Amino acid sequence: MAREQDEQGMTRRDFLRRAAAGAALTVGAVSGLGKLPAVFAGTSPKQQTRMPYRTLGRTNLKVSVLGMGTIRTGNAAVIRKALDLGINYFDTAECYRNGNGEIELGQALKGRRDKAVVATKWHTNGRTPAKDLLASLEASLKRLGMDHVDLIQIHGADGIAQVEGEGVWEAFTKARKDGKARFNGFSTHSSSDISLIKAAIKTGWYDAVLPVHNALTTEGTGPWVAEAHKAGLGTIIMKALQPAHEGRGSEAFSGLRGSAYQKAIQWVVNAPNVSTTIVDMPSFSELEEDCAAVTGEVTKAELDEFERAVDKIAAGTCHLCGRCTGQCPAGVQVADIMRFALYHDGYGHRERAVSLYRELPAAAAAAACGDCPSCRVVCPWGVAVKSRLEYAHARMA
Amino acid sequence: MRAWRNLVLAATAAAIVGSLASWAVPTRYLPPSNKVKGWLWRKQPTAYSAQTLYKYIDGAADLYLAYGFREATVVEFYRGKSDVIMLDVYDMGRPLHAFGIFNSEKPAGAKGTGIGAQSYVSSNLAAFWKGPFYVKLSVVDGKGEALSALARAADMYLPASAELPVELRRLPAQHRLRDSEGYVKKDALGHQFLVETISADYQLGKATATLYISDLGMPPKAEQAWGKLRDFQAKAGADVVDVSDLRDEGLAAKDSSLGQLVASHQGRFVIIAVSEKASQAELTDLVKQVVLVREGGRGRPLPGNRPDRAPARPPGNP
Repeated sequence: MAREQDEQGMTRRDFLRRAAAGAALTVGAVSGLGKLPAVFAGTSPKQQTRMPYRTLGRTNLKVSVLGMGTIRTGNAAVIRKALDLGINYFDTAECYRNGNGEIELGQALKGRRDKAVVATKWHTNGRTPAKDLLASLEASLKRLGMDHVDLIQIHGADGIAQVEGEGVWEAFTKARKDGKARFNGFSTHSSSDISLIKAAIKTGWYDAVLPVHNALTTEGTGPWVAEAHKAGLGTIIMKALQPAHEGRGSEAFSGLRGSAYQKAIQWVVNAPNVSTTIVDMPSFSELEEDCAAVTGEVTKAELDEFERAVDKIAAGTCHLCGRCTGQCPAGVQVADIMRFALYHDGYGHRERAVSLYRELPAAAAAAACGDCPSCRVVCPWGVAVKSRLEYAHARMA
Repeated sequence: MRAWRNLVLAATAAAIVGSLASWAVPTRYLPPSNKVKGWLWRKQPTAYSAQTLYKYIDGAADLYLAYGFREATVVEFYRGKSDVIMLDVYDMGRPLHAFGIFNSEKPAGAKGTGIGAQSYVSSNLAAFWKGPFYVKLSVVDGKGEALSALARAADMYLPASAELPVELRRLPAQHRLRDSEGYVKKDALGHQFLVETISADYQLGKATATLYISDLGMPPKAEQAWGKLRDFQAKAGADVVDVSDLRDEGLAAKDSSLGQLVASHQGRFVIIAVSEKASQAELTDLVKQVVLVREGGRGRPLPGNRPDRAPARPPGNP
């Protein structure tokens, strides 16, 4: 989601400058915010680069903790500036702006390909033959103007059938043999479905994963990321900014030092089991702001404060924490139904959600709630469980 | 006579109420089931708002929202057991927005097909825009030979003109390269302060250049953006010089990424020409060709430049 100017027309860059000045006066220059103006002051790339790097799991690639997404970002000058600032991880996909995301990234990296780790994606429904995946990769390489990508990923693998698809391994093996893709991964929005990452690890095919993970979803996605990291997979995080987007304009974020966007990024990359996080940064000011977030220091107290702010905006939202599991005396599988409802409404995977819901035994589905005068299930996040179950049943039964 | 008049008035009122009611139903924009022989709706169409678009296209929603997305109507057509095509109609609010998102997703070198205002058709995707609507048809299963027919049918049901956005008339015609026009709502050249920007490529001798015209809405905002551009160039280490023979203020800079840059501001507009190879003099001449005095923020806007203009009334759904 695009980041906006505030009502007074003050850009976030303006705000950051003021915040940085305030920080220097009150707590001293403990944060990277204090060096914001210097970043773009015409200093050489070497002087500017203080970007932290981590190893991307078993690929052994060294990647910047802040990576660049290309759904909206395609301006060559911004991408080259990102390289200058030390960002070396670039994520794209064949479908981003119908292939134009790849074209623009390739043009921007021309002459500097060796400085970048480039990842793109292919689509499979689990039955897609290897030749189709390889044709997709070939088309991506053509658009990128590159002879290889560093990481090829299944795009949006939200079911075990996709990560276990036979065509994937065959296609990747051939692509690696031909020098067209070095490592294999998958992206997913089902990063609270622990069975998915376990199944993926079991295949032994994957080097890295690209899940959703942030301070809002961590109850569900944290264990998923930990599992991937423990298995030696690189963890590339998407949707790091989700809490800042959802809390935009909220009082909850008003007391933070720096912006909520910076804190959201800092929260994600502060976890040692995270390799990198990809953020779309279509403007210099967003690039500057996000680089400042990862090149400066952040205290535990600041991140705790951010978590408290996120808790405030999260009230009433299912976190997939699973604490409702087993609470219903009638045996309704509340946690599962909440998860299916998220697939249905949150991710738009309606058919899968309906199919999963209909597989529940009748006594475990929300229809069984009908005879209960009141719901005994208590959600720590304040979700109105009974009405949510009724809603889920109406949509998925 | 009076009874007859009352009857006419009542009928007129009913027609107006009926048309307003049907206006609220997104299916009015869709070709009905079997309009293209054999292609049927799988189920009732689904509508998505700015709040729910993520549920349909996930992260790509960001791009659509950045272009002023209002509402999407989606219907799945099927034929027999194996052919499925998804039709998406995105109401982007203004023709310029629809033009912008269409261009951002148009594959390089795609050829027009005469559908809508601009269009292209490939083996598995067709897309066009018309008025405030951006339309995409994608093959979900089977082959795509019906894409063109379904796209033409969809075109028929969109209540809008197939003319290019009037804002593009601000771009000088001389030396302009065909089909090079573009529009971005924000972040032109990577600058958050350059909004509502139209652009086109120009052939200047052996060099090509790109011209950007950002509409800041009012002169003070344009001056503010101008100042930020100057600051940015100076801080980036570009050698910035004043160009005195341009309207209002002008500057030239050697940008490390873009090459030569010449910029000016006129009224509520900021105008920028960039090229890797063209000279400062050539770019200055190009910027000089842009004449926007009558739109200086105090004058009348161009006809299509009224924000969020409501589209024309849709036709009846036969």
